[in-house]
Amino acid sequence: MSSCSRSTNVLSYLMDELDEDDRVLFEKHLNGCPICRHELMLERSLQNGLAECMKPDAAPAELRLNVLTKILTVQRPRFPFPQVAVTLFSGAAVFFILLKILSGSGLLSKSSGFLIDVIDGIFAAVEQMNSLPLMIGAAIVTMGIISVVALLLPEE
Amino acid sequence: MIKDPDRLGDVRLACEGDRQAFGRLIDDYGGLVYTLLLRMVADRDTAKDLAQDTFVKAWTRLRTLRKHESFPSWICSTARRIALDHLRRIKIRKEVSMPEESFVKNSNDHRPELSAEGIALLEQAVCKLSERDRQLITLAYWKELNFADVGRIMGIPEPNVRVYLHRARKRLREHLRGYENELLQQID
Repeated sequence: MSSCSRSTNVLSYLMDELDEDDRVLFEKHLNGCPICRHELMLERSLQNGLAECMKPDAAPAELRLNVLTKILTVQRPRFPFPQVAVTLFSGAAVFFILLKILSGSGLLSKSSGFLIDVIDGIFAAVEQMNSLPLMIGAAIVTMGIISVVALLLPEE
Repeated sequence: MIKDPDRLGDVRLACEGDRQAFGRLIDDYGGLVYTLLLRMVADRDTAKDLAQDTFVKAWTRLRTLRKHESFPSWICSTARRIALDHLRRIKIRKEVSMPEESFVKNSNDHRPELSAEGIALLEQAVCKLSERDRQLITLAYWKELNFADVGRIMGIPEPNVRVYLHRARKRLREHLRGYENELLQQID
């Protein structure tokens, strides 16, 4: 069979990749071109054949039993670390920064009770660090503690 | 994407630690995972081992799955990463070629629409494709996955999936050249 320069559009047409105008034009062309109709029939057959041919195999018979046996001995983290650890740490950091801003603006009074005493204690400890590497170190240690706690928690 | 409420329920239960529900997910998606792995590593025993590793790893990380309906693409991504790690480890990723008999299905598979000759022709042609084209064609023709899922699994944007699939189909046609009319007679 001879060739047609527009037969390269057949696959695009079949995969619904032509825009509306091109699709209409190509459908008109198809009506009068036996070469492209033959090509379309082939591609459609190939598509149907692949869909049939690519069907998944059956799972290995022993897969379920092997996996279920193995996961009995696998420790599953109680919560999805590191997402939760990062969220907790970020939340604590935001809370701390907010307190610092409130404290700086004078909205927090030292006579507001036990909570304020605790916050003042934390501020004092951070101020005494007075060094960026030390603060980063403290952050890493905090993250480490959270992760160790997360991993040590029993699954159920 | 999962639409069946029972399956979605199984994913939710499995996320909460229900092993029986996870077992049902293995029944539902074990074939999908095994077939993807088989097409990547070209060895049935290795594919079985990697399928087991995939589900064990999935169990430990299931709580990180945010959209339960995305479980099929999530488990396929996990399988693909495990297969790539395996291939990297044995350093034959470039050299691995699919033996032509690897795709031949078990004799008890039922393919009413295709004759044995049609299956053999197509499978041999698919075997000759590159590893990426094989993965793409395998995933793109599974009803459980849409092009967005395939893109997520293979780490490529959805529009590119169509482009790559188009090219893979063209290459497949090249491998089928000379047998096209024969194929046409074999398939519906």
